[in-house]
Amino acid sequence: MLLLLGQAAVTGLLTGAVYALVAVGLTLIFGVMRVVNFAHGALLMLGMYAAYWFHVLLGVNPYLSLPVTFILLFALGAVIQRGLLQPILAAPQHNQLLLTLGVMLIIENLALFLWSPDFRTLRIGWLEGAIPLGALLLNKPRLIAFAGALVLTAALYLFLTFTELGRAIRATAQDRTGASLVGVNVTRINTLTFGLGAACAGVAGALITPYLYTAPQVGHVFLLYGFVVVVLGGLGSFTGALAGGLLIGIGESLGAALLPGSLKELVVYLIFILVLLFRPTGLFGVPHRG
Amino acid sequence: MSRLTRREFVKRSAVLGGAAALTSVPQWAIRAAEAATPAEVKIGHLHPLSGGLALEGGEMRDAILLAADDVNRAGGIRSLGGARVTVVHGNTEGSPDKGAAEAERLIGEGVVGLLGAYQSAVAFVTTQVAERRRIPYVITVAVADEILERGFTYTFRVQPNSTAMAQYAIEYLTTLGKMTRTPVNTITIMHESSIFGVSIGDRLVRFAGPAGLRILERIVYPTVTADVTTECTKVRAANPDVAIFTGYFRDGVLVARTIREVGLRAKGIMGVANGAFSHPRFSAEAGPLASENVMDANYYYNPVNPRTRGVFRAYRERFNRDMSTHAVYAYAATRVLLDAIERAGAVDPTKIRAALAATNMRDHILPQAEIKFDSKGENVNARPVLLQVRGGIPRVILPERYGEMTAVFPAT
Amino acid sequence: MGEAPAPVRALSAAPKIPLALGGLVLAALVLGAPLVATPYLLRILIMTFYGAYLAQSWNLVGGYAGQFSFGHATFFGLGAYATALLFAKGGITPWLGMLVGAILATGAGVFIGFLSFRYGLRGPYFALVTLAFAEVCRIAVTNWRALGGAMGVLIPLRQSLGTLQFSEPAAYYYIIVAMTAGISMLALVLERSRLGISMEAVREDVDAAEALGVDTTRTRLAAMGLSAFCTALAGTFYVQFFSYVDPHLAFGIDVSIAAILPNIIGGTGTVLGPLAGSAILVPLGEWMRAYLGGYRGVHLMVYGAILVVAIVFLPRGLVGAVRRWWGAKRP
Repeated sequence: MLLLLGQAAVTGLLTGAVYALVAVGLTLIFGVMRVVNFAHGALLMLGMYAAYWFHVLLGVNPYLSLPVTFILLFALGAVIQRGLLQPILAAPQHNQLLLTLGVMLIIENLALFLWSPDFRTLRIGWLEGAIPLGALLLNKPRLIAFAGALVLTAALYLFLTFTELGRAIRATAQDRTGASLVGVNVTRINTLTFGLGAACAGVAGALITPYLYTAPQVGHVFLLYGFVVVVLGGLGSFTGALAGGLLIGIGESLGAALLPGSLKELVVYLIFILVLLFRPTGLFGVPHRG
Repeated sequence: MSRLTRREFVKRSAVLGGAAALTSVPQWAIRAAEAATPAEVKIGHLHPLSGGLALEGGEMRDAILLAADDVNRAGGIRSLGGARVTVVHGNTEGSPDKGAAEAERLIGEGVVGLLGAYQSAVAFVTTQVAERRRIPYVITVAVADEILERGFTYTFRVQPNSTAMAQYAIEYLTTLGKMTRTPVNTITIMHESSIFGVSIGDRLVRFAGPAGLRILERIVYPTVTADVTTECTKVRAANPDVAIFTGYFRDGVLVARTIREVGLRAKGIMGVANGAFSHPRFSAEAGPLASENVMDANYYYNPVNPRTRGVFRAYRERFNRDMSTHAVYAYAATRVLLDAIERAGAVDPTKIRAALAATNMRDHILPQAEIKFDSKGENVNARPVLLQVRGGIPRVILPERYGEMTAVFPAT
Repeated sequence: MGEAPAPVRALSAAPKIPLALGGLVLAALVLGAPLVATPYLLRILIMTFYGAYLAQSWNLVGGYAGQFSFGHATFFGLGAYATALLFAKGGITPWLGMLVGAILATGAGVFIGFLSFRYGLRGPYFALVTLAFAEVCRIAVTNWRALGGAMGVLIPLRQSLGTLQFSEPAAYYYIIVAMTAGISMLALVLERSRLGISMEAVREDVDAAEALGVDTTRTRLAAMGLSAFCTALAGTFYVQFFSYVDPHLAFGIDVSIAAILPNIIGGTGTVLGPLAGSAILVPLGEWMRAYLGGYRGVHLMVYGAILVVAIVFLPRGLVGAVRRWWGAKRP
């Protein structure tokens, strides 16, 4: 029993890092633009296909193609933001949410059309199997995804904290009008942010490709959890997204170990509701105004 | 739907006030059925062609097209002067309400029979539409027993229902133990959380006890999930003689890979109606280590029948993939429907229904005796086979008279 | 396809006589439709009005009071399940079941609202917390044997007025038309009521409304309760019409989206918005699936594109666009 719980905790931690990475992209977009991005799962799916096709067609290891995936998704995100979201940023908030829902429908069904509904799995010899850690097993690709998620989150954090551009992004997130008054090009920051958010989703996708299946609707697995993690951590908070992701991952996994039925999902939403009700700003959030 | 209730309805609706009395809808759709020799006969199908189950839906659509063309190439419906069979596509998107609208549309386009629906929830609602419109409906795949327990007279099912699936699965498992003199006493059951997994899981529990099998653990996982490591670890911790799994293709592959990774030491891994374990692409997707010698009790083809090979070859040539279990049943269901139209010698749905009820088909590709229906509409001889992945290909190992190979058991 | 129930039109505009006439024609069209419609068309009409009703229910809180719920599936599902379970397991007439469901849903709406508003959850927080509640319901019911579990609930088929089951789809058509007319009338009355005015104040600015002496919490709770009550009735209609419900159909995210979308396309916070939105979206969806549905996913791609274009070019919905155009014409 103890072994089972230990294994569950470790597995949850590894999965949680991916939830965190998905949430980091979401929270970045939300923090700057106040947009709840429903297309995030679809972008993640595109990242998976990118990794898959690079491997199958060009024989490139999915981890080596990561930078290309990052750039592709960044570009796509920037285009979506500039072409579709920017014109309606002044409209009521739910319009943006539903717009991203429409974008999700387009991307998912385009993938269905182009690449068929087949479920595709990447199998790479040296990634098969698990590394034993005492009595526990660490699945190799999950371990890499875990590390990758942590590294990317840390890199983004450093970027936002220590670079000129990063500071401009944070300034925009805090006060859009103020930022534009001191000479920040808010439109450009918006485009950059959405691009970065999309790239995070793409990288998360590429990282999970070696152990999950790739299919047009696979993003649904992560989308709702992504939202949960974002709110849990405090909208716009990076540390919060990371902590929230790990918490949800471990909670879900322990739920699977201890609860009957498919109640592990319930654990996730219950944690969510409880945190929201007793600490509505999220774990690491600052007090918010609507 | 009886006359009595309809009259009663009209009477009461008069009380409701004028509006509802307008309900005598002109039934345009009483199609030009009397046209003596139609040039074509339309049949419709209802499957998920987009969404999460688009893969399975597409495979079934292809099989239906193949079956229709096989009949057309052999001269069409002869009793109707060689009328050609046309297939009209309905996309349910996996949703009952959309499926119902599509059913209504297909009926409006003049189909004389329907095929569907892959999901039990969609089958519940669409068979009801067919029943009201009196259009014969042959289920391709949908396991819930309850579909045929509502007293519908226009619905028929070729595929074994969940009770048959579970009952035979347990029977095969005990037979296997006896044949190989390997005692099988304990099992675990792990399945996905939709109607499909739960209805099979429930019935496995019901039949396991009487067969002397002890269930160490029953585990349910959400159909759409990123990870099943913890669930699979529970299976390993229970350490059963045989671990049983039921799921769709996507989660089935994930489960197989994960179960291999957590290092389960069981005498056998067995699916029941598993969408992955007996899929032709299972080995390619899950890898040989996770798939070789994995078993699955599933509805599938009759390998001993030479006709089967012809159908498989034709499907492979035309669609560039191998026939999956549900494609086989979509093919069989279509042939059953077309056979009934042939024997009815008419495009009148009532006559086709009567012909369906009188079905007695010997020339088919299923691993069973003749196809015929009981009063509920179930195929009385329907049964799954036990398959085992050998050299990357699912092969029939039980029952013996359809067996292509002898079982490797214990598998490790 | 603009079959807005006639009374709505007649009340909402200025030059009364031609509009009243137009309304009468429209009423005749709506009421006479089953006489000429094919069964397929009739089904689309039923789904259109059903979509309009569901959207109007959401509009009461999401549009008028500006509380963007993304979890109306909770209320829909409670209505659907209460009706279905009471009838299938207890033999209790859906007439009673629908009331039980609606009361449960009202309770749930007030409860969720109370928890959220007390902690000042607004905007996206509120949207996501309501979504989470719906997911909790879906997962709980999936795992709850006594409520039918994943199998869902099949309604025993017994047609009569008492069981609210009819052999002719036209009966369902008239019921949903009446429901849509009723809720639209309710929305009209609400617009002019004290509560409606408070709701509008809350929508524009909660803090300002509070400062003006509006009890914002009570106003929002009233809007939630009312909206939840009406949404539950949509659940009852669904169950009666399809004779089946399962956890995903009742509590899934698709229901919540279906309740919102017509509002966005038509225009939130207006009586005509959800009606117009549904009159466009539902037939559009059906016909695109009919013509393009065979080509894996193309119809949904086009549907998504139309959605995007509509949101970009009609940010206030159809009604908003028409109003602006009308306003520009007559300064």
